[in-house]
Amino acid sequence: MSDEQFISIQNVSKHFGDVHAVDRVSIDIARGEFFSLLGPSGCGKTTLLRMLAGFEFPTAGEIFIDGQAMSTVAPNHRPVNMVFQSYAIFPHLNVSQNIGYSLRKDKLSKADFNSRVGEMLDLIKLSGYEDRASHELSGGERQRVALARALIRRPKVLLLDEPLGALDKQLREQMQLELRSLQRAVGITFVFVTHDQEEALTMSDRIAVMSKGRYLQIDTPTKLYEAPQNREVADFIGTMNFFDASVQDVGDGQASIDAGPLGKLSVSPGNLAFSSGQAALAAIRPEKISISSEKPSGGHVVEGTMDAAAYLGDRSHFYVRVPGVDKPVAVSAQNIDQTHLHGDGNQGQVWLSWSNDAVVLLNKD
Amino acid sequence: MTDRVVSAPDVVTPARLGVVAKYRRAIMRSEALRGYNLLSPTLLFMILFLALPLGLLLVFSFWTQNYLDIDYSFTLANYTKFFDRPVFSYLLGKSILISGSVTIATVILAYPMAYYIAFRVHKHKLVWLILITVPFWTSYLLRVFAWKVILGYNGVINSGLMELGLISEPLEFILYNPFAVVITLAHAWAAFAILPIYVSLEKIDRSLLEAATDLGDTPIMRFFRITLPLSMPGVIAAAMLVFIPTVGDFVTPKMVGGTDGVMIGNVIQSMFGTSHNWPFGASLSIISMTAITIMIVVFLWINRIMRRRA
Ligand SMILES: Nc1ncnc2c1ncn2[C@@H]1O[C@H](COP(=O)(O)OP(=O)(O)OP(=O)(O)O)[C@@H](O)[C@H]1O
Ligand SMILES: [Mg+2]
Repeated sequence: MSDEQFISIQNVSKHFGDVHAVDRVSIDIARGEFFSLLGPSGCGKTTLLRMLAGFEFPTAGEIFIDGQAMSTVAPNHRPVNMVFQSYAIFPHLNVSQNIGYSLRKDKLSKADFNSRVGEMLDLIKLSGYEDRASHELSGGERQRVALARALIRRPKVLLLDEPLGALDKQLREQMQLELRSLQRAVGITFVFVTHDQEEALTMSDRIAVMSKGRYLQIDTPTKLYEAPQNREVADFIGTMNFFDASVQDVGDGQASIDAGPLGKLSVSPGNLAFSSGQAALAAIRPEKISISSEKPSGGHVVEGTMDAAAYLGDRSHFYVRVPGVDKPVAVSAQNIDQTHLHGDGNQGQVWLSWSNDAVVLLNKD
Repeated sequence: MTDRVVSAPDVVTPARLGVVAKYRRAIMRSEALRGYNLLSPTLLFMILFLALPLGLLLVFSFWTQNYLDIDYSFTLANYTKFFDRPVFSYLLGKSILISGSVTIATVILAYPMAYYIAFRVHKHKLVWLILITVPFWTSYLLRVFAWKVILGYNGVINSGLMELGLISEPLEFILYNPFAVVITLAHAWAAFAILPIYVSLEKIDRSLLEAATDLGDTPIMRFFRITLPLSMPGVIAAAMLVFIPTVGDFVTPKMVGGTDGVMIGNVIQSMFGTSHNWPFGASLSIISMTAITIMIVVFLWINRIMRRRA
């Protein structure tokens, strides 16, 4: 067992009747990693997490945690703890009884119990809340109590199922940062489930993007955003403009493509394999396209007409019609000197330009 | 309202309007008044059929019986009689003990059934609940008779055991004693205990149980730390529903209780019947009710303390 395979999910499937909730998934998670499972509703994130916790047993495959096969380990004996989506705070117990719930079998003295619970309360910044009843807590406080309760025995792995889903935007953003720094402080491996891509990008070391019971790509946030491996990932994370293209020539780390209305481009194919003559997709992020009302001098330039513009304060979104492209091209620009582009119902001519390394080449699935 | 005032000022005089409007305004303003308004049919019913008879009972208990007629002078004689003659307190104590046993037996029998339906049955829960109440579609008397048949001298148990050669003579101790009363009453009231316990179990959020397991509890620890405390409201409701009516029961003790199984209800019944001493019967009822109330208050109080400890 290496640190890279601290958690090793090997060819795991889970079927509920005809539903293949998780379908032959293999993932290795490293010790101390903040790992996220990201995907749309119903893609099997919760099911996978519950198999790690031991509440569901895989139909096929095996899960190892710290080198130990989990198929014969009951959930109450696993070295993992979970933060539930609804927090599952015990309503008949107060805050310190909730946090210290798992200490019962250690038969601690009252003073030891209180100091262990006190440590956790310090960690989650709720000192003084010992005797509060669970119904006297706000959503954010409940979330912290659930976190402290799951961490008090220092599990090897902490599982979190959309723990921030019920919080409002401001509190959620604050808790994202707190959760991340807490994870660094305790050094425990976190497996975090979310369907919010921004949340996954902010917090994770690596992310597995899932869809329909399978994973599409496992990578760091930067890699997922900058070099998605397929159209679904590119579409799910952020916004992406896609253009039909055909591969003309594949060389050493470079491919020449003909992207129709965008002209001929020379791009890096990443670690995907292409052959000459193959149909492919050229993809460009909206913020990697420059927009101007005068024709720029160098680089790849294409002319279009403004379809719609949205002013968002710090930035603007433009939708530009380019002859020969079905959907308007999305462009995102910082509002440094763009006001003239807004005009009144500006239907005017604009020029779009980009550099070669802004283009990602994808398989046309 | 205002339209009517304008169109027919001579019908609604300003003075009367003032009263009506005042009443309306008071109703709209006061939450309590509106509540009583809403309750009024029920309230009337309760006063007529509950408070009035109870008041009458209380008044009766301060009168005395003089052979054929009632002496209407106020006296505590009935109450002194109760406390002077130990047999009555003994009977009351025994009744409370028997109903207490019935309550415990019923709750212990009902809990697993309610638990099974709440946690193990996933489809057709309603069918299961209805099936459980099927025995209660027959008359209460029939059910008591059935137990007489089962426990009797020539009953199912005795003839069965004799047939098997385990005993040579019918066992006499199984019928006509407090034990038979407890069994019969526990069976008769089971459905009333199952339903409230089932409801409180059904309400428990399943993720709480998973959380307890996740935090290291074995199934048994989890039951005592989470499931049982959270279903306590149902258990208490069930206990009350069984305890209160069984203390005063007189049918079951009469049929299966024998001389040892006599309960306070039998005495009260005879006072209002053959012994023809309504005032004393009334005072016995009042004393029983007071005793039950005290028992319940003590029970709830202990329960609250236990909860705070947990
Ligand atoms: N106990 C179950 N019985 C039958 N089907 C189930 C069960 N649990 C989950 N499923 C199905 O498995 C699939 C994956 O469910 P899962 O709860 O893992 O999704 P998810 O990715 O967590 O979605 P969400 O973001 O909405 O929580 C869904 O189609 C769901 O209907
Ligand atoms: Mg889920």
